[in-house]
Amino acid sequence: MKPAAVHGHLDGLILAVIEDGPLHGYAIIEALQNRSGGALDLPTGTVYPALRRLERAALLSGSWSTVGGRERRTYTLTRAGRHALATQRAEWSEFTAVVEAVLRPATGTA
Amino acid sequence: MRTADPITSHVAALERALRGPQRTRRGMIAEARAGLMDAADAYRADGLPPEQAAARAVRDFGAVGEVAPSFQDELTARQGRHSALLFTLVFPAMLFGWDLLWSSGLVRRGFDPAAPGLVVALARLQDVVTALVGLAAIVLLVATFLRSVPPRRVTRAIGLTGTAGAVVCGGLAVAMNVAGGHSTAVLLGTNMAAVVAFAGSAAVLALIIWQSIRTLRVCSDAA
Repeated sequence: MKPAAVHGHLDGLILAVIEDGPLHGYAIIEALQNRSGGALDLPTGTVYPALRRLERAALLSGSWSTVGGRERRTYTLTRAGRHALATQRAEWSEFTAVVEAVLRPATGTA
Repeated sequence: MRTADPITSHVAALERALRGPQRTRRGMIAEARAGLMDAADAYRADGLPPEQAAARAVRDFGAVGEVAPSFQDELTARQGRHSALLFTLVFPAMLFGWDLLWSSGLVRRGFDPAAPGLVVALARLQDVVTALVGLAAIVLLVATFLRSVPPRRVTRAIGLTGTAGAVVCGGLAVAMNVAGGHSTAVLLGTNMAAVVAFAGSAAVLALIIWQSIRTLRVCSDAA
């Protein structure tokens, strides 16, 4: 999947992979790749500013910690972030249902 | 001579391309560097030699020209937020500070009887302008929390608000003292509290203008 297709959905995808617990930048990139079966083809460098954008919007909280002997910034979903993720899921379900209904080959009597 | 490894040179090139608050910039760069090293470690664990592993990590990360605009957007937004927070605090602080000073009796008004009406009108206008700029700063501060608002646009608005607020408030202060005639000179010559208040206000206005210029410069460098 090309970066342009992911554009606009990256924030929601990041919120979804952090939902289960705090993660640092590279672990988030790995989780995105694993959960997409390797189909997400976006520059990994775009994930770090996206994390800061979500933190600026108070959907994530970030803090520095030492993991594996390396200084890393770990992100946790905030209450506002959980709410934003739930909203995004509902909107996505509605959107895909509508698109699927239109795209589905018409069946019925001629 | 040993050449710099791909991660170090890539991160250095990214850092050179960015403008904005030093602490946030360093934090973002440190985070990107740690991520690149993690990615290189993963490739090494898969059996790639170190140089190739680092080169693959850099390739996955994206070219500086490709990723720098998103990094810069965040730095621009942070610069705007810092400035908006400062303006939210200092404009109302100036307003309440002067009110407190007049009501405390530490500084007594000694307006020239020829122009008291004009001075009072200018003082009221000063209060209104200061309150409006403080209010605008609060609105713009809230806007920095919204992902839908383009960071450069809101940050430029914050820089312009600070500049306009400082220039108008400074201009009105000068006009008030000119309209007040010799009373300002008498006040400054006889009252130490007045000297401190005038110097403090001038320093605050200078700080606002300096912060506004920094903010507008980050916007123009990022353009």
